[in-house]
Amino acid sequence: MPAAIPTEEEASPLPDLPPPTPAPVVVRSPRAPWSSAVIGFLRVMRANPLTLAGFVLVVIICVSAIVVAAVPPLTQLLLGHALAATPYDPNMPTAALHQGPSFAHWFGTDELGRDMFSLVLAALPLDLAIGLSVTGFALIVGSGLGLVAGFWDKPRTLGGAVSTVIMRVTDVFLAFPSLVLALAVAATLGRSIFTTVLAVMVTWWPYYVRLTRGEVLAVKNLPYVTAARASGVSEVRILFRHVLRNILEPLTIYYTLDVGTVLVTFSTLSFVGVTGSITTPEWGQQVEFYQGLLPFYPWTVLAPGLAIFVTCLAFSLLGDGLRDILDPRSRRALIQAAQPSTLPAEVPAVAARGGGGAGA
Amino acid sequence: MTGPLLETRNVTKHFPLSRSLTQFFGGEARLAIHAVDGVSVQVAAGETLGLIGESGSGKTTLGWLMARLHSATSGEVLFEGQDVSQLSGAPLRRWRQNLQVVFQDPVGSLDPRQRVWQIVSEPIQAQHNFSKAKLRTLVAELLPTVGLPPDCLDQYPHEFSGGGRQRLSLARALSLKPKLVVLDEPTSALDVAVQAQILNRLVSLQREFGFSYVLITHNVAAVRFVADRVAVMYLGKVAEVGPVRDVLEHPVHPYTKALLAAVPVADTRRRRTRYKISGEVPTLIRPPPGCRFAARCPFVIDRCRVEEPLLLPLVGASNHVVACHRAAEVADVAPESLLVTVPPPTTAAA
Amino acid sequence: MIGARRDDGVTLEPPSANEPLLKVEDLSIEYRVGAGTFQAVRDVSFELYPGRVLGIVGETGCGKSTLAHAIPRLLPEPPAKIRSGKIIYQGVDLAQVPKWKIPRVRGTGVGMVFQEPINSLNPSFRIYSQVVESIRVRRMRDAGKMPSFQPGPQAFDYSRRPQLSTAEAMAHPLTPVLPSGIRDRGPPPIPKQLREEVLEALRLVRINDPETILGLYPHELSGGMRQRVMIAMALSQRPTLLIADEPTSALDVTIQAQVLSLMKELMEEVKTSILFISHDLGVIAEMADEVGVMYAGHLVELGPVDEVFGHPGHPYTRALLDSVPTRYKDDGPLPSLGGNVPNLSRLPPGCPFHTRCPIAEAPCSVSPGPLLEILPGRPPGIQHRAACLYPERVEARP
Repeated sequence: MPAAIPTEEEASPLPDLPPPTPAPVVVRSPRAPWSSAVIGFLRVMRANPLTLAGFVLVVIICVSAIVVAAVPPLTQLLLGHALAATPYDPNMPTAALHQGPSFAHWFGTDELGRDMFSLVLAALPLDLAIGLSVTGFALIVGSGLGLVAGFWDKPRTLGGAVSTVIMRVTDVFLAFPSLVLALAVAATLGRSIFTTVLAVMVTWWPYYVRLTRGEVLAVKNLPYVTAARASGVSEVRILFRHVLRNILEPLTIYYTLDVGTVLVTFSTLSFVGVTGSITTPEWGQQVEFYQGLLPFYPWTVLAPGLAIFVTCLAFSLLGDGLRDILDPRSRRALIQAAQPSTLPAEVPAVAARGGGGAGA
Repeated sequence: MTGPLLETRNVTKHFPLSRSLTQFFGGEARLAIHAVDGVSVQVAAGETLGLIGESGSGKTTLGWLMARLHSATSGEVLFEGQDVSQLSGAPLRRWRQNLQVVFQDPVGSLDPRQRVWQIVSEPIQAQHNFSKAKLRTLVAELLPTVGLPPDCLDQYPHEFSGGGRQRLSLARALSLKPKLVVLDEPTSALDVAVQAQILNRLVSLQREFGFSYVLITHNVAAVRFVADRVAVMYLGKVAEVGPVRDVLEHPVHPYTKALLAAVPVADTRRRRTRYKISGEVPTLIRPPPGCRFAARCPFVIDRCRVEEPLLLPLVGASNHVVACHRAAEVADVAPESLLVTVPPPTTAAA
Repeated sequence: MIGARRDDGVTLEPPSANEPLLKVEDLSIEYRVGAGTFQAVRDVSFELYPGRVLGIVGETGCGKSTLAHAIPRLLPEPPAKIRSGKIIYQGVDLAQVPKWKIPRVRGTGVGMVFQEPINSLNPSFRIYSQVVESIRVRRMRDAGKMPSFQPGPQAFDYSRRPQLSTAEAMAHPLTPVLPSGIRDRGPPPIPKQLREEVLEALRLVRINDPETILGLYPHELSGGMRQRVMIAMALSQRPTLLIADEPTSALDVTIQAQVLSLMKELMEEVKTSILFISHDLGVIAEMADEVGVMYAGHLVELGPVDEVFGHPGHPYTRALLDSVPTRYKDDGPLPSLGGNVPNLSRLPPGCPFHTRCPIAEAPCSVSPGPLLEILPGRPPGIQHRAACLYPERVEARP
């Protein structure tokens, strides 16, 4: 990769060339878009071990969740009786009561003799599904509203009015303490996992409206959007092709980071008992269930706690690294750290001549 | 064609300021920034009109009005005799194939997420429904005309130098072979050596394809080389319009003289110690009555402060118009007289 | 106040006109970014004599800005690193100052004026508090309360400033045009003991009504006014060396002309020397006494400005001067320089310019490249140096 693509004049040693003779133009077939993305992804991973760790953890978590969720019904279907994908059946007590972590029981056992590792693992599919679905809902609804509210926000137009309505409604939701709102929703609709998920969803989307709208406002007046408009591109196309494409990256990063936060919030709600008594294993509920044992058998509380922590951490690490993977500029910068295209002379913030020209 | 390709008739653009609640209920009038105030200029087919002026002169706003990126507060923008200032929606987008814009900022005006072929073919895509292969072929044929290699279709804009990015902008503007290209400070972010390449390219493209240009810039040197006619703007008004040689060699309006005298020249024989024009550009919110340059003008008389001068042709030169009450009297004053010059330093230290 | 103490107790003599105020010797600066190393400045040597203006001109990325920031040690280190060379300022080698002592170098005798005054002024504070701060720092330094490397006898005393005649004073006076909608915030609360000095600092840069300006925030000033305030602040430090890094590049030409005229006048009054960095050959021709031309980190030519611009000794200087458009469309195309500025991490051996040079010969690509040498065949006594093997082949300009 040369420093910068030379132009014809730049490449020629002579000051003035006659116009080039029209040579037959050979158009290379487009590179498969995924191949460069994959190569870039691998290089970023190599350059940034923390992202790699996050990525590996997320993959392990997701695969385990699928395995844990899929094995019992599959075996039921194939063998006639369900097999648990966890080392022990999470609901069957073993002979070892409140035993500390050991080779046989990685996270120890509780006072009934149940294997903590199997219990935590059994809760993984549900918790992960909650984390992904709540943020997914917030992303779709919140960002959709945010796009509309940001892109068409012009004073004294229909778009401006719609935008104002969206933003005020969002403000109302934001003004409620989210935990209290969730409690109120749960209290109204009765205690269950479903109402708890609903409650978290209701409180989650307004942040995405704010975030998206802010990003849209920052992007929609950039020169390249004006340039697209001057080229005759329609507004809807500008919205998707230039605006949405350029804010996808902060949204994705935020989404990834948020999966962990949702898990914590859900666990908190679960801990205070909003989910009601349920039979399905769930981390927050497990923490609540064993909290009395903390002074005596700390591993019983630490095991689900650790699961929440590791899941959060994995998504956070991945989210931070996504910034580098998604942005073609920083992807290049990372890959070509040895030979950047421009000199970092402008390192002192007083860039030599940046946008020096004074416009009217 | 008989009439001008593009004509603005008394076009005005005000940007309203918001009022505070007390101002609103106190019944204060809504203030506005008078960015462009009653400007009439023409661009003929195949010619280049240079718009020069400083920040706040309204030259960019006027360019954007011509390109219909702003809608005029009042007045008309006629393109081939048709008023485009009120166009909107699909007709406006269809009309845009006649007029394209090259923006000042070669970094910001290219979408960082798009590849070269997507950027350059954007105006084509907006007008036609071509296949990807056809678009790529069109772009690959177009790139050499602006001096870029045709095999960079899949690069991203950040892989180009500043000059290369400005060539991409140019290729995008030319992709539909528009009749008029508005060049908004096309070289102000570039180094002189690259600027010379781009300006040469602009002129040779115009010779080849017969585009009209509107060149908006504060760079007198660029206007000198590219323009056929020049309009000098100050505070939202046109001060002087005429053929480029006439305006730059024999400026009549005191502001044009002040502007030309202020341009530093890379010639130590013209070194000066002092520039005699004082004061700063006044605010555009409540523009002064009378001539807008009156507050800084060295030739000001009382009449200038009350009566607004009209753009009138000079005696004996019908295509050179000036808005100055004292045009006839100051016409022969050389811009250099606004400078106090000294001979160049003679010896080195030591 | 004569001969304040230096750190080590040595009292310095006032600089004499024949001693260079600033002497840069074989200075090399590199940036380390990731795995790469960029030679931003390579073996640059020059002297700046008291009362003179040395212009440094070059294109984007040639290292001129790095050089300007390296002298008062303002470069972020890392990634920047002074690899070798000396920066001798009033007898002290600033390049050798250990990192922990760097803050003492700053703001003590070297004033800086930057390109974009809006970024150099703190947007959250009104003008007066920023000017006051700058004057306080100087007072502390004068009182010996601040350890500093630059002590020296100050060349300028406000009381000695020659009063301008009315006619002269009318050349620049600037009564601020207030943006509408600003409420009167009352007189700025300037500390009494500093009041006169603060007002004097702004009057020095020909601001007619300093009290009004002092009460405003930076964004409420025009660009020209901000740059005047920056110059006033820099001069209130009573510098013996003022480094101006593209001080007028963000300004309109008529305002630029005012600021340049002002800087020239102030130089006479304040008896300071200026290192003037610019990409604009016209501004350099206007301001500088001597000029250095930089290309790809190298100083390729150095000499009196009329010599360098009239009879360039390096083909790059010639090409740069030629590419300024001075002709009309029908006079034919502009001469323009082919090729690209080489990548600074992989400079070619020999002369950095030989890949684009119209007069290059085989020896030009042989390492090491030509050194900055006094040109032969020029009038004696003129220190016109160029780093070119064939300077006689570079044509004089018409």
